[in-house]
Amino acid sequence: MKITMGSIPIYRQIIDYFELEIASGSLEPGEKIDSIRNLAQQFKVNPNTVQKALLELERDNYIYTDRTNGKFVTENEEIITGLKKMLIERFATEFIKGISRLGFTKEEVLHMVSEAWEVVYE
Amino acid sequence: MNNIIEIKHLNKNYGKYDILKDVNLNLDQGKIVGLCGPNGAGKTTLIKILSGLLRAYEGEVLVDGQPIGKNSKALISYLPDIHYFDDSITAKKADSLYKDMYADYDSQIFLELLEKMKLDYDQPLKKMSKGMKEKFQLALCLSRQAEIYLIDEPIAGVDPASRDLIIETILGTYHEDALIIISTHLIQDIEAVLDEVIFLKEGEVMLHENCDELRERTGQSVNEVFREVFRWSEN
Amino acid sequence: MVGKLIKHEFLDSRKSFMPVIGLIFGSTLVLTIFVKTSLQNNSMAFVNSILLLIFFGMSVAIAVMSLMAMIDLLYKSIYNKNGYRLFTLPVKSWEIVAAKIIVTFIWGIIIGLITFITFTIFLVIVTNGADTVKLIGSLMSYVISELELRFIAASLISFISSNIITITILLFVGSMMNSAYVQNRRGLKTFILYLVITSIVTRITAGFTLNQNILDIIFQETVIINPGILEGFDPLVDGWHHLFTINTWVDGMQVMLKVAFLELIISGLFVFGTIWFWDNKLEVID
Repeated sequence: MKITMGSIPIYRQIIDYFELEIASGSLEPGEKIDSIRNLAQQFKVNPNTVQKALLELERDNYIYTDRTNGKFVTENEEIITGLKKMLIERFATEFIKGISRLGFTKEEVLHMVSEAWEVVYE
Repeated sequence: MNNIIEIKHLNKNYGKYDILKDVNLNLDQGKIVGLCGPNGAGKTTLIKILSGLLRAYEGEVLVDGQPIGKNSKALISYLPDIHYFDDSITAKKADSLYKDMYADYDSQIFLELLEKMKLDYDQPLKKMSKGMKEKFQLALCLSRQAEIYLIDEPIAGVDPASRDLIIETILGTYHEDALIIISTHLIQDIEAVLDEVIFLKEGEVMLHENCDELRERTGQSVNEVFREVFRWSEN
Repeated sequence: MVGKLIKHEFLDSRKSFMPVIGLIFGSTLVLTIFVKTSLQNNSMAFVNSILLLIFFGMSVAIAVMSLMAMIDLLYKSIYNKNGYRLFTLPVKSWEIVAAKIIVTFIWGIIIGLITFITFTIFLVIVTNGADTVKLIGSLMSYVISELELRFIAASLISFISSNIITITILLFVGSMMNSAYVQNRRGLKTFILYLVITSIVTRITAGFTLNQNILDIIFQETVIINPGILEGFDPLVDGWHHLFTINTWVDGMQVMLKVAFLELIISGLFVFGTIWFWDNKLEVID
């Protein structure tokens, strides 16, 4: 994943990355998460930034720390489902706000989304 | 975390040239700090004072509460921006020297880094390309599990691919809870790695701030703030 | 820590001193061949002269390279690029000074021993005699017995002190010229100041030893009057005293010791000066 220096703070980009990985199942429930040092190396960011991101992910219960201080993806299906919903809502809201200046109605937009879906998955 | 480096009213001149003017800095352990400024701002001078190569200055410099001397040198792993080894030196000789002289040196890490960087244990420095020499020195510097790392311009004059390797290596090998000071004028490449940043302009500290706070305060990247402060075009 | 420092300083300086040792072997070899071939027929005379020239050339080279090796050890290996390594090592300044002095002496001893050994081998080869070794041995023990232990001790101390003062002058001047007080042409200024200080110090110490008898080698009158007596003379049987005796002057020895003491004190001052400059005014620039 490429970190960009823009309006989104780095730690938030890391959180977003993990949220998507967990929601999509790329990171499976119960899977071990790499060490902070390795993640920092991978993303090429400051380890404290990684730690901050992981802390927030843990606060939201998407990951947890076990006795050995290793971090793991939650195994709680409900939480993961909740995360997926949260992400879809977030993307949807962004999308809706993003096209708001184009002046289409809700029905027109839904119809175009439906058509675009066919194109993507044909 | 206490201040492992305390600098109070530091002034340094070379003859009639004032290089550092009333520098005051307090730096904590466990942070990666960028020392940023254009060439000639005094970055290398500041680093050389910390590492013990420049002993004539006014003001007070304390490393772990002590003045510069044998003890501070044992805590600091310094990577200069020049090639400071004799051309005939090999990794083997450097390994032996560091094993003997530095208690915090880990030969194992050095050997692993050499392998990662595809450097030969027995090859003399004079047979290495410039890039290889720099990687060699970096490997040696990072193989010490020091309390303070002073890294002077590690990525200037290096191709972009190697820059990534260097940053990754620093992040992967440094002693946790160490203070790392990276001096550079190429902020863009390194911004994401920094906890704090110091702007040095013509020997004076313009700014010393946590990067996240700086970004939040100004709404810009550190690089953008830097370019404003120094009115510099992209490098 | 000093021990480790000495080890590495020694290893690093090998590069500068090996040529000297190589030349000592080489020049002795050339000399040996020269002597051997000069005993043969005249068609070799041309080669013979060339060999002599080569020998002289090599001898000069030995002197020059020894000097350069000293400069490397006591100046070049300390400053500029090398300063980045030396002055970031976790050692105290006095440890560096001590290591440099000790390594200089180690090389001095090595070179002295090698010179002695190669020259002995040369003599043995050239004189075709196993006796040669015995002769040298007996000559040495005779000289030692004539000189008395205390005189030898005094000479040794004097030798050490005069070397130490040379070393410490160079270290001190180097430290001064690589301080914040001097920005450019450091090497040249070091050289000049070295000469100045050395001549001043020499003037001081020479003042004591001038017109002072220390040692006389007296050849037996009988030999001087009639050298023919030496025919059939075998020192191993007859004894060296038939050829010469050595007289030492107690006064002279005392003066030698006084001068040595003075030199050591002055060296001590220079050592303090070096350490002060390194700790307070050092400026390593590349």
